[in-house]
Amino acid sequence: MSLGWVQGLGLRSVRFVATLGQLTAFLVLVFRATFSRPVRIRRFVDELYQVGVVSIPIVCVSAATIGMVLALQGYSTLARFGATSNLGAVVGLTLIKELGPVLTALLVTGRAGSAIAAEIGSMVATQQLDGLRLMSLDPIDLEVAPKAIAMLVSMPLLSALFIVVGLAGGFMYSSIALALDSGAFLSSLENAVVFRTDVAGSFVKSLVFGILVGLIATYRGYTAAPHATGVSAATTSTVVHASVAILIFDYFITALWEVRWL
Amino acid sequence: MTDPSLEKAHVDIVNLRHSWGDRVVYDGLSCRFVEGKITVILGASGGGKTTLMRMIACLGPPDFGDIWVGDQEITCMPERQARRFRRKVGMMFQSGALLDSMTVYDNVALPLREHTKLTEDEIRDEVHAQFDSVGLENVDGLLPGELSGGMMRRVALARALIMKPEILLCDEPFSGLDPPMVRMIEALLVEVNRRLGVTMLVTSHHIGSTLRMAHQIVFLCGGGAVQGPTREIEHSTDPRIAGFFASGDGGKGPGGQPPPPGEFEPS
Repeated sequence: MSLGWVQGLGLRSVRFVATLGQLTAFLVLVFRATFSRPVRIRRFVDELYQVGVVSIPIVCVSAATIGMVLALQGYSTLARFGATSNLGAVVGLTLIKELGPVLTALLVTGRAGSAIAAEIGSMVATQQLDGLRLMSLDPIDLEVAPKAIAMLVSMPLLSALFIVVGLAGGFMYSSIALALDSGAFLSSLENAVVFRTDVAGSFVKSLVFGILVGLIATYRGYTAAPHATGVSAATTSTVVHASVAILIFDYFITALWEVRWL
Repeated sequence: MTDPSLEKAHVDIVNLRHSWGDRVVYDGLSCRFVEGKITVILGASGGGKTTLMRMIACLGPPDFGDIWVGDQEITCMPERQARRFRRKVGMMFQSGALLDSMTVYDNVALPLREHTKLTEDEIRDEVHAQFDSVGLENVDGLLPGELSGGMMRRVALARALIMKPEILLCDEPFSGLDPPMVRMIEALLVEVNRRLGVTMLVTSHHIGSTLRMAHQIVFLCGGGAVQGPTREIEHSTDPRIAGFFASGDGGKGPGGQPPPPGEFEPS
């Protein structure tokens, strides 16, 4: 009984390490395809539209809501300490350092990451990738790399949009619904946020999340079993694995970044 | 008809062994495909017909054995070399394998855009000539999802032929088609073989079409292959082959009627 448990653990560990190795090899292939000729600008722009532009509405709606909730929650907490003039700093730092990059990454994983995995997975299932290979074309060059790079480029831009819209939502709520002084909100925000630490850290996070989501989504799609169940499993595992990876990497990046600037 | 063993082999399979998990697919499979002829690969479902096609297209290596194409051994080619080799091969997939995101025109033009320096006007002429040769018109702007089964096969054939391959692999080209469309695809394949002299390997369950179009038959069974000219295999006394033919349409055309004369004339 106990031996079976150890065997199971060993098998899972070996599979995990093997997957990490395959993922690394896949990353190298994507990287090589990205910098090989011909440069596929049109494919990249198409994918940028699918990943980035189509995600804008969901990012804006979520960001405005989160900004208002932060203002409301922050106000009720700060009011206990008579520090409501610091509401701009609370909303701003929370959005810039944490919620902006993390929530954007989670939203984009659910919307665009799952779509990428499903699209590539269904291309595997319907032999479209084999069709490309038979035409002496590299599916990683033609289909995978443009999607992964579009995700990498979109993520920081969407994260910046999330932060701006979130701040606008928080500002509007505090000015209109809470009737706070808008000048105090803006000046506390301006005084609290430091570009070199807070904004740059947020940018680094969103870049890393872009790489993670792009890589996991394309890899899961590319290695999907060639049938409908395989495609749905690839889509589900993309959302689960990318979400967990985002939260784990968020902790490590935050820890390393804060130590760096302490 | 000449015995295939006496003619020049274009593709030579030597002592292939392959398994899927515990299930042995090939156990010492050897067969040869004659240059410029149509060979139909028959066998039960799950007998490894499509797997053999994929191996010949360098889309997956066998566990053991050699595959020769002309003087070149392609069994375990590195991907870069395999990509060069595949320019000699065209494949008509059972599902069509057309890219969903592109129009029919772009699907067929893609290999020319990627591998040649032709201008867009020259590409347009080539693609339309290919459409004409497979009997398609006014399909440029359609997406693959808007095509019927027969149109899909013809577009797939046009794409497979656009780079003028030496070997054409056709995986189940007749499955899911109505009898007139089966006749049409059959006629197209025979015409392509006659016009281009391309070596053609076709997997099929359709006995009538096989008997009408094949120069030779490779029958996969028991992990190996029985091979011979079409009439010889048709009248084989091997119980596995005789049973297979007896279970089909007996070489008659769709609807149980013998094929009419001149059936292979292009429409």
